[in-house]
Parts: sequence; C-alpha cells; structure tokens
Amino acid sequence: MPIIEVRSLSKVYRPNTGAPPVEALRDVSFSVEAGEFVAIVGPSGCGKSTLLEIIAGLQSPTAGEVVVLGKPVQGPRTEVGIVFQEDSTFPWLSTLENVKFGLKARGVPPAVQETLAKEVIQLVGLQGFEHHYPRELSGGMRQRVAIARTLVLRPQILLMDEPFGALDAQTRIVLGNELLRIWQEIQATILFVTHDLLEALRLADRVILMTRRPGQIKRIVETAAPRPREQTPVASAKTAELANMLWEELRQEVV
Amino acid sequence: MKARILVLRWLTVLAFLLVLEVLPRAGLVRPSTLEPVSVILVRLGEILFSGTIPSPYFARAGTPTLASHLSATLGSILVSYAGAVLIGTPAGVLLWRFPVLARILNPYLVVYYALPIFALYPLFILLFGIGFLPIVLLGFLFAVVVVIVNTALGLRRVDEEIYPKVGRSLGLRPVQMYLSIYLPGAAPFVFSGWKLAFVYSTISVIASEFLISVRGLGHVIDRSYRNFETANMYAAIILVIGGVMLANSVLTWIERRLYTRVE
Ligand SMILES: Nc1ncnc2c1ncn2[C@@H]1O[C@H](COP(=O)(O)OP(=O)(O)OP(=O)(O)O)[C@@H](O)[C@H]1O
Ligand SMILES: [Mg+2]
Repeated sequence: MPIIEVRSLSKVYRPNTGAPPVEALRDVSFSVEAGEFVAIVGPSGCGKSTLLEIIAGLQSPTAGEVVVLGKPVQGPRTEVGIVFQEDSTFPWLSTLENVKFGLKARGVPPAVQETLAKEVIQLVGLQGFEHHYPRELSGGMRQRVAIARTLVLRPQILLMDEPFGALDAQTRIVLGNELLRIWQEIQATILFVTHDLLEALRLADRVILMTRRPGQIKRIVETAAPRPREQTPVASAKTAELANMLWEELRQEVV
Repeated sequence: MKARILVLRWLTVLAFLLVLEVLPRAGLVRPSTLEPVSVILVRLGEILFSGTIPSPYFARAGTPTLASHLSATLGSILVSYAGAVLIGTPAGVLLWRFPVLARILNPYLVVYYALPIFALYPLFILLFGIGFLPIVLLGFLFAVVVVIVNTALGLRRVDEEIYPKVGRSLGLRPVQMYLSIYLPGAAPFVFSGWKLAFVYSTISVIASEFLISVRGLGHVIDRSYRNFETANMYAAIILVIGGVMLANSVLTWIERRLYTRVE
C-alpha cells in the first residue's frame, strides 16, 4: 500500500482581495511508496508548493483528497514533516533553540531535546553555530537549520520544497549527498521539489514533471539509479539523456 | 574619525552653553527670559540637594518640596502609562483577532493623533475638577492608541510571515502558537508601541500640569514662569528633559535588543 496517495487533487485560490481566482492545481493524482525518494519539477507558479502544503495538511484542496498512511489528511500530522521554500527559521531563536522547537512543543524532556538536537546539528554540519542567531548565519546555513528542525522530529514522510534553493552549486551537491545518506539512515519517504532537473534525476527514484499552471502531471520518469548512490557534478550518460528529454518537455511548458 | 566627531559634538554643546551664559550676562537678553546657564545649574543643584524649591510662591502654596511635585508627576505618568499598556495591549490583540473590529475602528484610529485632545481640557475640568484624575485620563487617552495600533500591527506582521505556518506544521496547539510564535514575533512592534506610549503619556502629563494641576513639574514650570522665577523654571525644565531622556534611552536599549534578535 502506498504511503502517500494523492487522488484527483484540485486547488483554486479565491483571494478575498477581489482579485480573480487562480487555478493552481487540476486533477493531480499519483502515489508514493514507503521509502521512496520522489522529486517534483515544473515551471514556476505551477502549484508545487501548493501541492506540498496540501499533503502536509496546511491547506485544504478544492476537490480531491490526500491519503497518508491510510488516513485522509485533515490537518498537520506528526508523521509528516515539511521544509519550506522560503527562509523559515525563527529569528528570535538561536540555532539550537530553533532545532529544539518542535521537540519542546511535543513535550520531549529537555535533556533528550538537547541530545537529539545536537545530533541533528552535527548531521547538517552546523556544529559550532549552536548559539548563533539566524541573522548571523548565511542563507544556506539558515536553510540547514530549517532542515534540522524538521529532521529532528524523525518524520516518516519528509516534504521538501526547494530546500537547496538558497545554496550554491557545490553546497547543493554536498548537502544532496548528505540528504541521501540521512534518507537511507532514517528510512524516510521523501517528496522533494526542485527546479534543477539534474538534481532531481540524481537524487530521486522517480521524477514527476508538472505542466504549467493549472498544474497537472505531465509525465513521471523512473531514474532507476543504483543504491546507494552518490551525486557527482557530471551526470552519467543515462542521466544526461533523461535530463535532455525532461528539458524538452519542460520547455514546452515554460514558453 | 569617530573620536573627532565625538569631540566636535561636545564642542558644539559647550559653545551653545557658552552663548547661553554670555547672552544674559552681556545684557542682550532680559533675565526674565534667560538666566545665565551657571546660575540655572547652581539653582538645579540647590533644589536637588535641599529638596525644596526656593520660592515664596510655593512656600505659601504649601508645596515647597521637590518631592511633592516629583511624586505627582511620576505618579500621573506611571498610572496613565500603565493603563495605556495594560488596556491597549489586549485591545490591540482583539483588533487583530477580529478584523471586523479593525475595519470598523480604522478610520478613527487613523485620524486619532491628528485630533488635538488637549482642546478638550475644559471639558475634563468640568467633569473631573482639577487634580490627579483628569491628568491621568488625558495621559491615558493620549498614549493608549499607539499601543493598540502597534500591537495589532505587530501581530498582523507575524501573520504575513511564514512563522504561523511553520508552527502549525510542527503541530503546535493554539496556546503554543500564541506563546511561541505570535508573542516573540510581534514583540518588537508591541514594545515600540509601549515606548512611544511612555513618551506620549509624559508629554500629556506635563502639558496638563500646566493647565489643570496644583502640583507636578509641569505646574512648577508654569508657576515659575508666571512669577518671573526664571532660574526655577529652567531648573524644572532641565529636570523634565533629563528624566525623559534617561527613561527613553533605557527603553531604546531594550528595544534595540529586541529588534536585533528579530532582524
Ligand atoms: N495564498 C495564495 N493566494 C492566492 N494565490 C496563490 C496563493 N498561493 C499561491 N497562489 C498562486 O497559485 C499558483 C501556484 O503557486 P505555488 O506557490 O504553488 O507555485 P510553485 O510551483 O511552488 O512556484 P515556484 O516554483 O515559483 O515556487 C501561483 O500562480 C500563485 O500565484
Ligand atoms: Mg514554490
């Protein structure tokens, strides 16, 4: 049984400012198996963030439903963690306090909070910055704080919305490899939005390609990459071929 | 560079004080308008050390001590200010929580500080007489709106940010949302409102004391002016300005700490 089932999802935003309604998603259906790493690519504004937030229970769909772990999504769930596209660190908390935030809210004992948080901070390579505030960190470091804050809760399902968007190409690859390692270690299911086709192909088992707004699924490709895998700056011939094909399809949507 | 600017800044202050010293001594300004700075400072020291205002008027009025005026002014400021903070902050929260309220009240809030509330002072005298109550009420009215507006603004700003969404995704309960997201997120704005409210209630209290009081530093300034006790008047003015500057720098220091954490 798939761990995430998205069933004919549609979303229309009706701004209360009087602006015309925006159809963000139209009849989107797909499913994700437990332990899978699935990437989503699509033109800007096609509804990728909307899709992730609906799966996370942060927004309600206009039509259709999402079933996670056999139960329809009605609101945020502890089994699901999300990393947002924009900087979402709390500026009034230090790195350590940011990472502990969700644990504290769940009533985890302080000593355990400390241990778990330090562990994850190590994992994302922020040791030495525990007591720095977000304004003292670079954009990429802040994004890692946000990732750590979600990871520390050990969600079974990890939704990531362009988590490496604020990073340079080298750090992206390094952190992508870290993510692959973490993913294998904690055996999570990952749904990963990116605008980088090669990144999608290198990281994911499957890549979902979306059309321009209103977002529909245009195509799903299997990358069939071997496990465990390691990203390299230069793609393999197979990956390059897939990337070219995806690019052809994506180009029709962008213009 | 920085040191030189600091030196120059103090030099201008010194030059300014020197001019103020020389003008009355040279007879260019009448002593009823300005006494030499040295005389004023000596008078201020005298008042502070002896605790009494050397003036036949205040002796006759039965309020010769500095303490009687200082306590009146501080008491009025504190009560009106505390009222503005304690009532204005929850009112601001309500305004944010119920946007309908905000939409109804918005036109009034927008023009509020354009209205000269002091023009109503005769009404206040008619209703409450002369003394503590009308002064505190005026101070409260003058200060409360900036607290309401800033509190609502700060909370609305948090709503425009991603933080509430993060909170929900991490499974926060409503109480936790308020305490861990809205409170720290809005704190700098709320505090700016509190700070302005202090300035406003001080302005209002001093000004009301000119008009509707028989005690307080404002009253001292007003009476000394009318009785041509220029040195006493300037000493009281310096006391007011010095006190406000001190309080303000403390508040600014706290405010800056709040902001640097959020920036
Ligand atoms: N809260 C909202 N109210 C109204 N319209 C919205 C809202 N959020 C998103 N939209 C609209 O929905 C569409 C999809 O937005 P979404 O953020 O999901 O796109 P996206 O695929 O994540 O884009 P990007 O790649 O640029 O992040 C956009 O046209 C956007 O204008
Ligand atoms: Mg997006």
